[in-house]
Amino acid sequence: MLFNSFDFAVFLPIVFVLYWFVTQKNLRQQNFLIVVASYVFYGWWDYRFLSLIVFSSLVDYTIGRLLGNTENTAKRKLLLTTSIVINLGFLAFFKYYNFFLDNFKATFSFFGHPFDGYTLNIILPVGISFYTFQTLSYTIDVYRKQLEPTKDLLAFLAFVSFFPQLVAGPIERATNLLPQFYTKRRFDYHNAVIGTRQILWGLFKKVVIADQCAEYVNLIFDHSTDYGGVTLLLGAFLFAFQIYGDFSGYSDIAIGTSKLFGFNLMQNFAYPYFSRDIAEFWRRWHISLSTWFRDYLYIPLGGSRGGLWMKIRNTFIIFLVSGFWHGANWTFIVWGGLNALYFLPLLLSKTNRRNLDVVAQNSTLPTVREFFQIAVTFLLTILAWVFFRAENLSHAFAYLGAIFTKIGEPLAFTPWSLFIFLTLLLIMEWMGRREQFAIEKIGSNWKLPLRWAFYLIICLCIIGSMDNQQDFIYFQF
Amino acid sequence: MKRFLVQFGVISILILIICFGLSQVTFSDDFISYKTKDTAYKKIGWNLHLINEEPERINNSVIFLGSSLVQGAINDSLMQANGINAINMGVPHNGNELWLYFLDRLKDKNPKKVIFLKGKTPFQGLHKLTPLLFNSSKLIANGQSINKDYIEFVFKKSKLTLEYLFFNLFGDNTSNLEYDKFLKNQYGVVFVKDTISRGYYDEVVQEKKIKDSDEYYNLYKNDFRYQKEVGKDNFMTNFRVLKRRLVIDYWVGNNYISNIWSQERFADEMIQIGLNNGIDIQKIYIPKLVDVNHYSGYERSDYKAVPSDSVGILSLDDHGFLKEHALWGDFDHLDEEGANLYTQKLIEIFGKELKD
Repeated sequence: MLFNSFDFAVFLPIVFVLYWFVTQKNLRQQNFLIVVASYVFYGWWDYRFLSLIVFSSLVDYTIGRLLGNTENTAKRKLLLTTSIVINLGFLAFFKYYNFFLDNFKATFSFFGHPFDGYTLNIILPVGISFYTFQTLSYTIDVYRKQLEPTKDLLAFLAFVSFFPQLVAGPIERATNLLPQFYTKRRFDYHNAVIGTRQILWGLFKKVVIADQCAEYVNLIFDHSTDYGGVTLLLGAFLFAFQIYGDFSGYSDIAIGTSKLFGFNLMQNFAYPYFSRDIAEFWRRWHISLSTWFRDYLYIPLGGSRGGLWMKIRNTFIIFLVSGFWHGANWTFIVWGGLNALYFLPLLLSKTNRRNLDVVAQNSTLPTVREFFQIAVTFLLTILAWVFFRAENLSHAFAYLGAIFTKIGEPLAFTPWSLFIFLTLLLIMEWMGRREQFAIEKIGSNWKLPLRWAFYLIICLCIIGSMDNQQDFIYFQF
Repeated sequence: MKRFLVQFGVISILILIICFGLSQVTFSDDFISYKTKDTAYKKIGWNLHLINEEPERINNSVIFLGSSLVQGAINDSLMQANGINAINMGVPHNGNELWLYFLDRLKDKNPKKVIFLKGKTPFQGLHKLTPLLFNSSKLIANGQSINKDYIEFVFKKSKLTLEYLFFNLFGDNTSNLEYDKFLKNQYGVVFVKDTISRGYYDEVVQEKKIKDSDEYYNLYKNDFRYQKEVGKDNFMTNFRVLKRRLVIDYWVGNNYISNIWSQERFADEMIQIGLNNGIDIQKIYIPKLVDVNHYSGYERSDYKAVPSDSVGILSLDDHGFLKEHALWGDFDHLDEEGANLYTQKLIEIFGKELKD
């Protein structure tokens, strides 16, 4: 079920009413309703794959219980390994089987030993990368004794399948989300208002920005050989906003929806395009995934301890794995590798933690130096996004090459209305950059008619852009 | 909670009121033509051009209205060569309200007869172009129920109204209804030969391949069983069949969920316009490949009799002459050769009736 669909517009109020008016007195009933609603939400796409979520949940619940019952180190390691193998096994099969097979076939053929392997027509279950990482975080945290294993199966099922963030995150930590299922939720007006506002802003980013950018991006990337360098640059520029609007929009809707049900999810995007260097960008982009890799991969690998080579190796590993997490295509791996290369000078000069605060924290506008840093960082990310969007590596290289070699050709089209909306987005995001989302505070102390007029204008912008409904990009991951 | 719900409810109602207000706007023909000129529905521009610029051609003529089936199957040039003053105004996609829209626009241009397509699927919503052509009140007045389709219509119409505003403020001033600009090549039989493969055609003929959708439409006829379920009498199959029967029956029968009865009211409205304006109204049955090979007349359930069938239905008794692979553009549509053959047959059988 898409957040920007009629189905969800009917589904959400029904669940909301049942949640607060029918099950509000009983915690188990509230959790049960969340499980049922989440399974309906997921099953709306393809009910057959519900069995994967249920199986994955039951495996990790059982392993969590077993981990809680033993202090034997070897046994604990075996249990953790079992969980990792099962969860990543599903992920590997559904997401990476054909990729590995194709590459093995190509490699063997290259060395003169061709072999036939059966390519399978595998459907990628929506959101498998997200819920797999979420449930894995639980087992690892229990193994590390950072979290008590839960005895409440219903709460655990609800934690794994919680519908607002089930298919595209934020990838929640068990330490943050699971305990919220142990306590009865009470309706909080302030939280619900903020949640609704966040949903509105998420829809704006998705429907007005991302979906409109997608029209031009698809046209330019699908016919890239027909266009000159400036148009191709425009395509990459718009894709940067498409993917930001799409994914951060989804996260905002997910976090806002969770607030309506009394849950607090982690912030997933913190104005990444206002970053002054790549390290800051990665602290602000898809935060739940970056921190997941930091906690469960980078630090166990040694993190920034050890020598310089160790740091470089670990940095590359984490970026390459992060790229591969996004999809079974070399383009994602190169995208990850390119970001690692961007990161390297900062690591070597030990300046990767230079920009930890919010840009222009105490002023209205950035300094010239900050502005220049933001522009350079944005340009670097744009070039990397070309790999993310391209069909394959040769397409990406041809696209990038044409940007520079066909630079003299004029712009094929000028989407003025989209530029106006992008400018509005940037202004709002800049104004709200110190908050969790752009319009968290904007307008909150205005007089009611003005505030409501503001919301109505956003609603009309959304309605006015509804024709080009696109799937959320991150569903495919 | 109460405060939140009240505020949320008020703002939702405000949005609905604003959208309802926006959906009252009627668009200019120029905007309609501009919006459709690069789409599969570009024929709309041709129709509007005729109504606005060459109304004398409509005078005393036979107008064919319908979906791509009409657009692709009726060669009006051939009819004209045989003395029948016919105009094919078919536009892709189903929706009685689209044909009603055109009848309403051309009723005072004095057409002799209007023949519109006998609807096929019982699960029919609104035509995709309806938000472009109707305003909200007019649609309701013509018989639209307030249901899911209508709510979607209101939002789409609101979106288009905002676009219309931009179009009027910033659009260029050249007319989109100019004949020479782009309309000239948008008329005629549209389906090219041999886009359906020989193998696929043979499978259809041999009943190996009947489209799933085709089988779906025929659930009534097969007692809500798919072919693979016929003869099976176990609990699970019976349960699935019962569930299907209940869901589809309720869905189809419910005026506030499905749009079928709205569609019927649009057809009734067409008949009423005909009566009020002295225009002879008829329906026409145009077969698909599967009808030609496996059914005769309109016996399939998706052509089942509906109230508006009280008007005459133009239908050939035997479509066997259309069985050749070479006559079909795809599963649903005749190609140019097929259209000519079919039109010739219509002229032979109904020529006198159409001339009168």
